[in-house]
Amino acid sequence: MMAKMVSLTIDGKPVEVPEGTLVVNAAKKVGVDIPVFCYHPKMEPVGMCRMCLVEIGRPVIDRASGQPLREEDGSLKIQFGPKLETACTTPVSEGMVVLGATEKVKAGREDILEFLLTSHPLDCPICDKGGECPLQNLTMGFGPGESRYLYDDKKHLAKHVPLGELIYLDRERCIQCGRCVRFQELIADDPVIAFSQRGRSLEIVSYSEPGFDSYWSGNTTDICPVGALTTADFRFRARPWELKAAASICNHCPVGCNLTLNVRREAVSGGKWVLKRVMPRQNEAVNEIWICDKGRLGYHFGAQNAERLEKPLVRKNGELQPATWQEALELVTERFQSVGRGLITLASGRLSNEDLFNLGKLTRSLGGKSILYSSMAGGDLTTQIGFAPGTNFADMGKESAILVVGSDLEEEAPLWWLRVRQAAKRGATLIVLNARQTKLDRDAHYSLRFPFGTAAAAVLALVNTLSPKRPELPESIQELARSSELKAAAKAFAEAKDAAILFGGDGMGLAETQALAQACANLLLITDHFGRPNNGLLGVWPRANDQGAWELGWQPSMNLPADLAQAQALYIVAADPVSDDPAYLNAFDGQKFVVVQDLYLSQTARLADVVFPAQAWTEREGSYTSGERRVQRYYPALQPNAALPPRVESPGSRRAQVLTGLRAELDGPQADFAIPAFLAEKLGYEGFVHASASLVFARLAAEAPSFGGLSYQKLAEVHEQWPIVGRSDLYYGGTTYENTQGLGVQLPLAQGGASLLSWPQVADFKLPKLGGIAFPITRLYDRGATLMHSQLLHKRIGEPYIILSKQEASRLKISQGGFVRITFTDAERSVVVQAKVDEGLPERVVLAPRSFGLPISGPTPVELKPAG
Amino acid sequence: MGVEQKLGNMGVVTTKLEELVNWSRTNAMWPMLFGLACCAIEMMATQASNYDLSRFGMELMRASPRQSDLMIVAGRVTRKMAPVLRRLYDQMPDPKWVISMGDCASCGGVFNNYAIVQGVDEVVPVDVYVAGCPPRPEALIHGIVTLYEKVKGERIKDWA
Amino acid sequence: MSFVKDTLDGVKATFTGLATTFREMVRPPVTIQYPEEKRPVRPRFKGRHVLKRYDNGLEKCIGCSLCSAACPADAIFVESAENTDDERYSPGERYARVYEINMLRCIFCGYCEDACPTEAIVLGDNYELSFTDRRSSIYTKEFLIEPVPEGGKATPQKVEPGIYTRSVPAMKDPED
Repeated sequence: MMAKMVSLTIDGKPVEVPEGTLVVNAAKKVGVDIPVFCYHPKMEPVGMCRMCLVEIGRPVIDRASGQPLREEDGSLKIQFGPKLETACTTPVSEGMVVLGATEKVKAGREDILEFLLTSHPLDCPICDKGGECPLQNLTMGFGPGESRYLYDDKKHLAKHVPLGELIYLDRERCIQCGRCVRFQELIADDPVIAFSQRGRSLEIVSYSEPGFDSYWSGNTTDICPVGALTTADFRFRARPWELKAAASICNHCPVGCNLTLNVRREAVSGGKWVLKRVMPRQNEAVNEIWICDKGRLGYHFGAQNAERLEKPLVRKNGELQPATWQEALELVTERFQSVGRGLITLASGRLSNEDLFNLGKLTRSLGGKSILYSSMAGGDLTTQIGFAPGTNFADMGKESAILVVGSDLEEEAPLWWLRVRQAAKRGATLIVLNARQTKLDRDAHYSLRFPFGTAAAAVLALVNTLSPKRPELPESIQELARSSELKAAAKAFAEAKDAAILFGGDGMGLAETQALAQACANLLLITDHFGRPNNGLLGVWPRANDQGAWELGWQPSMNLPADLAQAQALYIVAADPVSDDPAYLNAFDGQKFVVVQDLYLSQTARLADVVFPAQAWTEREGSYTSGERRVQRYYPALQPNAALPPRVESPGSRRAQVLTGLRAELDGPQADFAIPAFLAEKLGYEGFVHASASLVFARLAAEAPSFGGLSYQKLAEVHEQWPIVGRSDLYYGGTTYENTQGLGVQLPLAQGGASLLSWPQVADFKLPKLGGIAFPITRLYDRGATLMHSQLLHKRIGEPYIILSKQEASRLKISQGGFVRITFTDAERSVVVQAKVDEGLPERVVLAPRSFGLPISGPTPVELKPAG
Repeated sequence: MGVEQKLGNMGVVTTKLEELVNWSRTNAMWPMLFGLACCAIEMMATQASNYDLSRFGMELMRASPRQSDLMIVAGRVTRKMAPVLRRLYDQMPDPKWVISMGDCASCGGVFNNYAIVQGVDEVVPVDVYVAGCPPRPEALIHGIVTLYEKVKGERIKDWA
Repeated sequence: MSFVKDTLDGVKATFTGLATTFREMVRPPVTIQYPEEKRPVRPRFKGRHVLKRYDNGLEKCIGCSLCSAACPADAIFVESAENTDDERYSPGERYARVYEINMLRCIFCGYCEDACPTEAIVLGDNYELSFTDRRSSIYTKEFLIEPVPEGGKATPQKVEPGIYTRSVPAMKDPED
């Protein structure tokens, strides 16, 4: 359905735009820049700043005939308003004439800027926004040049106001446009900052504890048109014009937000390139122009620091000692060759497609087995009935339904939470099916609760109301299955033109997510919601490239500890099972040969025989496949070799090296895809490439069916996106970078997924009479190795804790924040942790966050005692 | 290999010989008549009576590399000029010294582009760099004095 | 007689020619004995840079990098950091943690002086800049900053909170 088109003239240029478009956006379409401060293309207009004032004329209509009046020469008679109008709140109308460059308009803009500058401190030299500041740019472009106000009368306000430890406010610089307040309310749904007082005393305050308690706070610094809001991370670290930009992809979660990494050489770090900040990069199909604070502030593990591994380590006389690459590679080659089939390669979704491809190929060549280190299953289904090419949350509206099952979406994949919420606001039917309350419930049309441990059964209950072939339902779900709300939700889901399911691992382990994925797939199949754009199954995976791993044939093992224990040799890449669960310690009995490839000397690496230092994603090229099955490319930002070349390098020797083709000895960390290729080269296998990621990808595209036809060139293709942001007109969309380095390509669906699957086995799940069951939950800020290097977030991450029900807390006689001893019965391990009390939690249920040092990978029986 | 090995360690004799040779070198060092850009104007001024380079034993600029000891690279060196510069340097008899006069010769200066050699030390070994754009005659003389200090510190055993 | 006349003409011509020589013999020499005798520079001469301090010893430089942005030769490198009242280098929130000028790149144009919002960097009188290696041509903040004036304290200073809140000195109203 096309909206009615309206034609108008802006500064003499004819424009045709859909009805309802605002004048400021219509002008943007034809390249006329109307300056704004408070208007933002992603938010509703408010018309507060008055910067966008323009002259608007409309055709005069004869009241009697209803026909437009005409001048003598036949042109339409246009009547201009007596005053200037705001272009950001005025929708276009037929025949409208907009004048944005008349003397009257210029005078209006000059006055507005003069007013704004009366209380602005003009400390641009030390302002972090200086250089990419809309106020600066617009003053230069439209400002009066001099002020009639007395400098001595300037208001002096506090310049160093922490709104929490992440974001600082400079009250003097604030021009009170309200963009941050509106963003937090409308887009982030965390209204934790607000205006206080009024008139010239107006100020932004945060009324949450901790201050500015939102996962989205960093975005306010992007859209702030002045330097009033700055992140603590980038405060005074560099001027924007000194930074170089490298396009990248966030590797914290499966959304695959497009990032720009800003780097600069730093004297304090000995002249090395240093990551200074992470900024969003526009991709309207992925992250629009936003990123969460984890992506923005949690990049430090990928930066270069003293703890990074720089040389291969080899165990000699019981100690890990630095060795040359040559030595380490030869040792590993020899041992792997002798082990052959007994090799298990364990890799996580933190690796790129190229890494997983080369690792998998090497393991296959040796006859070993590759296992994906993941707490979620079901990827075999997302490759078949996952999001089809062309799927975009932005296209989901009135005719769509979205079902979110077993996921605390904002904690697991924040950007999907934001986009699902916006789809719901546009009119999509949002069904939230979860064991506990999450933030997404606020926007849900149907918010359904199932008892803990019965996620798959709850989805089957939905299926039951729609399908003549009725799967058996366990006892505990019957109450939900009979509810009218569930029936209504199922009907809405089935009747929607497009429907998508997002399933997560909230409170579930590997086996439970497998059943859940199967149930979800069945629901999609019987309602015929697959294989088309905006339909399909989406796994909210724990890591960035889990979907890519599934596409390349990697699968998790249902009994990983046993598998590891049986192996004769282990090749563990980008995974640290030992610190996640001490149960894996049994696998490292000293008998088998263990190779670990990682950035840091992790707990697992300490037990290894050989440790390979790997390059971080900031230092190399690669590609990730996001949960939406979009393959996206990232580019190197830092120099890969942490060790600097010798200080004085004579040009002659360098030239000689190039001319004679001398290959330098391998030195420093290597890319994850290169190390298996080096091993393959030594083993004498054909078809491995280590020279560059693009060559590996070319092989991958040739050998992996779903990646067929793809190339790095294709991944780097871009097309014009709306709204236009990140150009010289920073005032319009904020400091988000324009995407010039590639929007990514969605993979086609794998063949053979269209037949109805078998019903998953769902046993009844009953909570015990004694003790309790701990369910794993995911927190955005966890204590995993990828986040603990970001010092700034430590306060937000907090100490390990569990969440208890009210009854449990009163039985243990502890209050909010008290300490309990939790014993994991199976793991025979007990720890003292802080307890939080959640009133809504049923009795006997304990929630334990993942990656907080608690040995939890699925529902686990626990015993609780008061600490001390 | 040097005089020292031929003579053996003769202590005070070699020390005095060193001083004598270095003194004679610093007092009759002839620069090559060779200018490349704006710095050459200042170099000419240095040679003229106001500053009078003859005071430093540089009686006149020699137009032939065969008769020169000191190459003053006065001005930016283009990539095309670089081989010529190197040939001139190779034609100079040992011992020989190089002063890189001004920013462009020293590191490319403002011309950070493909056409200009980013420092003549990519082509010839430079003994003294003189900052300035262009350096005043005094600054060049300061550079020459710095070079003299350096030459006076040379040891017999280092002589080629 | 022509012989006598010729001789006299020759003598005359010789003396006419030598007159310049003799005149110059008694004229004071124009040569400046440079290393011993230095000609004073003009007031607006632009030589080696100096980083200035306020009278109380605080550095004028606030680490804004505008000099480095203005520099046509890319000779200046600045890295800033945050001031605290316990460790204060300059007024306001920001100071230059690293300040380096590569004298071999600098063309002494004075744009940095123009760009400086606090008049912290000033091009001085020193032109005696020659180096035997390129690395020593990089002048760090310790080289460039002027000594602490009498009555001032060295940086970092421990100051009372809330006094030095403004980086750029308060501006007077512009006068027409």
